[in-house]
Amino acid sequence: MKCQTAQELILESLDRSIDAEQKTRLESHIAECEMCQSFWEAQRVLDAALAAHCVAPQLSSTFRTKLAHNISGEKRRALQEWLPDLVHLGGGIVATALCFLWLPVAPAVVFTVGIALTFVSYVLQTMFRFWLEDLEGL
Amino acid sequence: MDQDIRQLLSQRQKDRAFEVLLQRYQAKVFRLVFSMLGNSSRAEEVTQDAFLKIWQALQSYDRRASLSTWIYTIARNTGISHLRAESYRKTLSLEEAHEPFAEAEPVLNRLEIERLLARLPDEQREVIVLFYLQERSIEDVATMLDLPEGTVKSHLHRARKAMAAMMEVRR
Repeated sequence: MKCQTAQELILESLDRSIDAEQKTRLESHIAECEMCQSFWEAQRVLDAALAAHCVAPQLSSTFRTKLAHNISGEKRRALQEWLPDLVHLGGGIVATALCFLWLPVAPAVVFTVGIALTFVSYVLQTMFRFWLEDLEGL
Repeated sequence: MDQDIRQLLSQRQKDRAFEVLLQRYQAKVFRLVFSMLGNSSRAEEVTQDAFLKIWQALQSYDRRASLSTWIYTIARNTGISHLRAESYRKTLSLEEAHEPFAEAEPVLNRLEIERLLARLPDEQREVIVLFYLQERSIEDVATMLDLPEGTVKSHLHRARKAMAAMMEVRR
């Protein structure tokens, strides 16, 4: 067995168990070769040290609670983001319905004007919100 | 694998799906992030961020990649963003930046191992640390880092050789 093959096999043996035949050949090479013996020794020491040192830390006991808190905050933020749109749409629908009930105007006109006003006021409201956000960003 | 989570998602039970996902992946994601940052409290913060992003994006998960790959990608990207934002490896001392491992070993002590690890290229360090954190599973490391198993082995072998060479020079 060549030294390069032996050293590859040494590294391989640290990743997974090698078969009995490979192991025997490797051991006999290591017994005869000083360089590979020292390589094996260094790798063995290193492997033991890494295994002893690389111990997975545990998440703290508050991890779940903090995450649940962050997610609740995120849900609230998402709702707050949508809330003006929902209120606006709801207001538009209610106003249109009231006009439909109380105004002596043809229903088609009421619906058309209602939709148009809701849309236009939505655009204005959105522009106003962007303007406010820009002001906050300055 | 993860069929139950996919099923819950298709039933629009996002919170329940997230609960199962969290139970299954929180430790692995934490270890993955820890292998990148080398500091448990920072790794926990980044794990928080990663799971928050996962929660935000869960409903839009398109199932093209496996769920585990998708989760690990988000976790890795969050870790990378954190490293870039803080670039704390450059500003903090070695001892402050890395506190990962258990008490000193007689042959190679904690600090020596930390020094050897710190001198490895990032990808080799992540692979070798994760290999031991994941109880020597090359398959797990490959999945978590989205690398072929052959590449993981190659990084491992290079890291081992480099560390042994550094030990030799030190003597």
